Amino acid sequence: MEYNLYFDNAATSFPKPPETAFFISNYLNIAGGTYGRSSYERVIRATSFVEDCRDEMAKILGTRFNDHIFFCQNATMGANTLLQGLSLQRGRILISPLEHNAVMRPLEKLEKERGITTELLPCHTDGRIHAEMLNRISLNNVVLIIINHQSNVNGVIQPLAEIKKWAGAIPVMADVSQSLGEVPFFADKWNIDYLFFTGHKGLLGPTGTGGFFARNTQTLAPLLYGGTGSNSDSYDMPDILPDKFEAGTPNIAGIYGLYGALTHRPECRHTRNDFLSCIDEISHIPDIRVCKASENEYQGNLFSVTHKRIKPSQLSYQLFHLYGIETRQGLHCAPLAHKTLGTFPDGSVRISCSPYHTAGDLEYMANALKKILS
Amino acid sequence: MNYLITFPNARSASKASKLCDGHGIVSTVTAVPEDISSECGIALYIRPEEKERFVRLMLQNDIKISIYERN
Repeated sequence: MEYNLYFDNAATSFPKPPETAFFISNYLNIAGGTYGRSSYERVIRATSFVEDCRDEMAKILGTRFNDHIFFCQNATMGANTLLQGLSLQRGRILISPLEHNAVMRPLEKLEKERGITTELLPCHTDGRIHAEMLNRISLNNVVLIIINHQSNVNGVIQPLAEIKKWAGAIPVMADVSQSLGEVPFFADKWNIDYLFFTGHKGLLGPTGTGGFFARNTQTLAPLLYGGTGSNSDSYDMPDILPDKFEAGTPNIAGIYGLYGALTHRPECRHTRNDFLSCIDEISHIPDIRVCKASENEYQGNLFSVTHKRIKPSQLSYQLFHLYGIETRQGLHCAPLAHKTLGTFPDGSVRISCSPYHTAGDLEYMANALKKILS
Repeated sequence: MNYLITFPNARSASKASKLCDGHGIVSTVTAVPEDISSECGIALYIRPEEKERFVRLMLQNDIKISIYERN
């Protein structure tokens, strides 16, 4: 029996829906065309496709502000555009204790260059923000709150709606790189001010696609300056959206692929119960520690494991070489998360699922862990 | 005489073109003439008898346009 042994979907998802590659191939071999720079049919079609993809993203993000969604190469570019483009000076930025380096590294730069201070929000032992304790936090001089919607280390989903409710007028920025596609998101309902996303994880699109959203774009300066096919007689970037934040030719081939993925999402081949039962089974392995949400309702589609005697690198090696199971070991570009969870500096072995895993695949993986660690 | 419609960007032009197709308004895509603007390179020609319906459609969909009379 052939199993899906790829459990590194938090790094990049695989496989993709066949439409992802089909749409890319169609663009490269048949459709072609640039975005908006000319007026013949091929360009009109390519432009229309990019805009259709933007409109699909608006549905997934739960916003009616379609032209406040901007494409770029990945979530990291989105995070940098937002963090460097906002006029953040000498204020406090509150963050979740499970932030990825896509946030931490730009913040480090802001701390050094703009006098920003970063503070952790109070959390439970699994890193989930302690919503009941938020009212004890002073919001004086807080300029931004940044929340990783789903941790890429233990899969914890943060209570974004409650956090924004508490924050009030203070802007909240969400990293939805891990959650989007798997966890419903309601940017307008929750009144999220900014967010950044990637196309190649939960959305099942190709690498090289991603973007960001800004509810109020007046407060944001572009990161990139260049040609937009509009206002071309001026050396200034246009104010109109989305052009202001999309200098240069977009990754049209990638956006075709992303559109294919968004409009042809597969049915999940396992149930929520299959996944939770798998975690439960693994947690009974002697001397194992499973890094996951304390409560199932906050558990996303990934978790990590560590073992008393076997290092993550050794475990990951044996999983692959003995059983063909592909995982990511180490710090997952999230040292803060590992410090919060107590798994720093060794890190952990991360198991991240996709809609393409069956209950049988999960069982095979759990059995492999049992055999290696027994 | 026709009407030449220009847009501030490609997204607006693309949406307008699709709306025309969806509402049976005949439109022809063309490049923006140099004497008018260096804005987005996509413009539409609209027949005079369709102008009112077109403008209403653009207003309903919050699409900014500029209208020029052209022979």
